[in-house]
This record gives sequence, C-alpha cells and structure tokens, in this order.
Amino acid sequence: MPLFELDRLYARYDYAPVVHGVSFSVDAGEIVSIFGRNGAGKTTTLRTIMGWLRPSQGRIVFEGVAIGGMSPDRVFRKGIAFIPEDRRIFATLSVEENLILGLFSRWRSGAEQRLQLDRVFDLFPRLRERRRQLGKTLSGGEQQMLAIGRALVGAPKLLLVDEPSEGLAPMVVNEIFESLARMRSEGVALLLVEQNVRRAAAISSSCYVMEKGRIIKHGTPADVMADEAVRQRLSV
Amino acid sequence: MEDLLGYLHVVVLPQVIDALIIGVALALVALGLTLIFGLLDVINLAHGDLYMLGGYAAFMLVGWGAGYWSALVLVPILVGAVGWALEELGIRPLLPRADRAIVTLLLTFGVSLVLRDIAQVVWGTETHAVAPAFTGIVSFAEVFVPTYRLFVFGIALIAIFATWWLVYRTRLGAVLRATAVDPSMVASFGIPIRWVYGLTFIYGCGLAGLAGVLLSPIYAVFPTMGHDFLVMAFAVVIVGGMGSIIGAVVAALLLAQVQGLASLWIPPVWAETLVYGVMLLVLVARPGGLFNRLGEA
Repeated sequence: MPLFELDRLYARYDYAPVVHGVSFSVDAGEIVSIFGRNGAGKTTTLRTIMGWLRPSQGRIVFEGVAIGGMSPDRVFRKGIAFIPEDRRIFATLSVEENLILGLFSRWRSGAEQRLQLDRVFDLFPRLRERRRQLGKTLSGGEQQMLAIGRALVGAPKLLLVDEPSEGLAPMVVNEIFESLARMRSEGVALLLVEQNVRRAAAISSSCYVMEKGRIIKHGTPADVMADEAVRQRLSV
Repeated sequence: MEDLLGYLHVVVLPQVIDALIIGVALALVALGLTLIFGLLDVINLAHGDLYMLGGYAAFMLVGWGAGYWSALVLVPILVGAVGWALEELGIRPLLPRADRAIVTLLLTFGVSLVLRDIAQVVWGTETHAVAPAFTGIVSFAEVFVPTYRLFVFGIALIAIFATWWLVYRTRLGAVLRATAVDPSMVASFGIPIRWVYGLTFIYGCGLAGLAGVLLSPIYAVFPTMGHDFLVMAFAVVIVGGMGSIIGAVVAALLLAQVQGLASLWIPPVWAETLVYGVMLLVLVARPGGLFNRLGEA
C-alpha cells in the first residue's frame, strides 16, 4: 500500500474547474515530482490535499485513511505538512516563534520540543544563528529554509513542497535541494512541485507531468526527460 | 506664577489623575474590542453590553453577599462565558462567509439591543449602586484620591500588562499574532484556529466584564452604561489603530485626558465632542490609526 494516493481528484475554484481527474501515489520515503507550466493545476492539487480546498470529486487517501475534505489542521495532524509557493513566513514573528508554530499540533514534552528544534537547526545552522530575528529580516533563501524547517518540526511523514527554488540564487537553490534530499534520507516522503525540472528530476524517483488539470505523462525521471514532446512543453 | 502653580495643583492635577484612572479602565474595554477585531475581523457591537453585564453581575453577586473580592474574580469568568456562548452560537457559524464583517456587525448589534432590553426588564431602568471594596482617601502632595480609584488603576494596569505579556511574550501569543495575519497557514500546522478565535473572544469579553466590576462602584450600573462606554471605546480603537494593543492603551489614556482636561474649561458635552473631533482628525490624517495592527508590528 502506498503512503499516499490520489484517486481521480477533481477540484475547482468558484469560477472554474482546475483539476480534472488526477491520480498518483507516493511511497514512504520517496520523492515524487509534478511538473507542468503555470496554470496546469499543480498548486491547486497541493492545496486540495492540504484541505485549503474541498475536492469536488475523487479520493485522497493517506495511510489508508480518506482525508479528502478534512480541515487543514486535521490533515496536518495525520502527518502531512505543506510549504506553499510564497513560503508564508510570519514576518513579525521571530525565527523561533515561526518554528514553534509547527510544534503546537499535539502535546510534546519540553525535551521533545528542543529535540525537534535542534533537528531543524542542525539542518539549517543559519536559522540557529538568527533564531531571535524577525521573519521579515531574513533573506529569500533563509526564509525558504525557515519554511522547510517549520514544516519539519512537526515530524510529518509527507511534505508537500510548492516551488521551493522560486526566486532564489543558484547557490541557495543547491542548498535547498540538498536539504530536500537529506529529508528523504531521514524517511520523509516528498511531493514536489517545481519549475526547475532538471534539479527536481535528479532527486525524484517518479515524475508526473500535468497540463490543463490532467496528467499527461508519468514515469521515472529518465522516461520523462527522454520524451521530446514533454521536454518541449516544459521547455527543458 | 504662584497662582498658576496653585491652579495646576488644585484644579488640573486631580483632573489628570481622574482621567488616568478612567483611561486605564477604558483601555480594558478597548483592548477586548481591538483583539477581537484584529483576530476575527469582527466588530463586536455587543462589547459594551458585556461590560454592562459585568456591572450587573457585580451588583447581583455583592447583593447576594458574595463579597466584592469574589465578584472581582467571578464576573470576568461569567462574562467570558456569555462571550463564549455568543461566539459559539452566533459568530462562529458566520465566520466562513465572505461578508463576515458586515453580518457579524449586524448580529452583534442585534445582540446588543437584546442584552440592553433584558437588563431593563430584569433590573429596571433605574441606577443601582455597588459598594466599593474599601473606602478611604489617599493623598499625594495634597492631592486627594479615593483609595478605590487607585485600586482600579492598579488592577487595570495589571490586566493590561498581562494581556501584553500574553500576546507578545508567550507561545500562545505567537499563535495569536500569526493567526491575525494568516489563519490558513496557522491551520496548516495542525492548530485548530476556531479554538484560537474562541479563546480570544472569551478573553476579550472577560476583560469587558472586569472593567464592568471595577467601574461599577464608581459610576453605578444602569442598562445603557455599556452603550455610552462603547462609543468612547470605539473612538479609542480607531485612534489607536484597529487591532493594535499598544495603540488601544495609548489612545485610551490620551482620549481620557482630552475629555477630562477639556471638561475643566468647556461643558462636558462639548468635551465629548472634542474627543470625536480628535478621532476625525486621526481618521483624516492617518486612516489606519496611530499604531499598526496586531501581527503587523
């Protein structure tokens, strides 16, 4: 049984349908990437999984439990965390306060809280240096690290990551992708939406290509990169 | 020169001290109002009537012989419970709506009228006095202040400081500030924001109840007491900045001084007009108020 499964998901905003019958699955500790141009429905798919949007049809199954239509706080407590495209760092909260938000979902002892925070600080030592600084004083790369760390402190089993490299300098992108790969090695599964197809394909075990709300291609990274039509569509 | 100092000492200083005490009590009511607005986007027009209920609850409890001290502790809890019922039954079902600001405004307006009518039916339109916990007068440099007023000042100051500490220095406060700016992101970390909303509403109403007990021995209780106070509290919230904690405190102290000092020289009715004049000026010059919203420091 896969960790996570999407079965013919349909989702729509008030004004328009966006996702038309998308199905895919993610195994424990695996990185799965979704590619596609702007407006293909990738972000909407992630938002629907997280509960920001109700699916209009289809099933979302996590560890054998149907979670479609659950509120975001319940989805998180099931073990799914979401890092949205614009990062949504709390600008007027300190780095540490931002991280602590991820620890509130259930009771944790002081020792466990410190352990989780230390895990994030070990992954991103720069956050430890800046723990007292306000979120808005961080650079774009540091904000992305904080967004990843904040999602990680709650020890999720599946992380939904939307465009982690967007707007970041190449050096920082390297660091972000290294941290994503490290998370997988710690057993966290990732569902990754990314414009940087080459970088994402390099760490993924499986890739899907979306267009106009549908999956048009599915395969190993090598399969997808070998498909000339797909490469043209994604302008890789 | 001598005359001027004498005038300042005998006439102005007592008025300043009095306005300071009214100011902190006003800040308590405005704090609840501004917290609820900053977090839920709800303008609670029934807030003044919760303050009124606090006054009546104190009147009843003291009348039954419960004593002032137990009233001081129990009333905020009772009024908080009324606030909880209002939030749970009235406001929460309306929060998912896009037009929640306007429908909750109408709802709380209705609740305000109903609470006022209930007070009139149950306790009548007349004024009821509540005995202060202690009488006596303290003098500083030959300025005489009733001990009870000093006590009110102290308790209100503690409550204001506790609120600030809770919001800005605790983890719960971090959740509150985060919810004020981005509730769906807070929910995505497993935090049920309906609880955050509920607790904030209860806390804000509890503060109104506390102000009700504290001021009942000074102004006595009557059904429209909340209405008069709410209008002033709104002026405070607008001047201080909708949703700003520090703004509510600063503006409450400021407007109470404006009203208090102005009424030395012009009729009290005009002093009130002056307060709204200040509010209009702030609205024109700085429509967002003097301070930033909660979570946007």
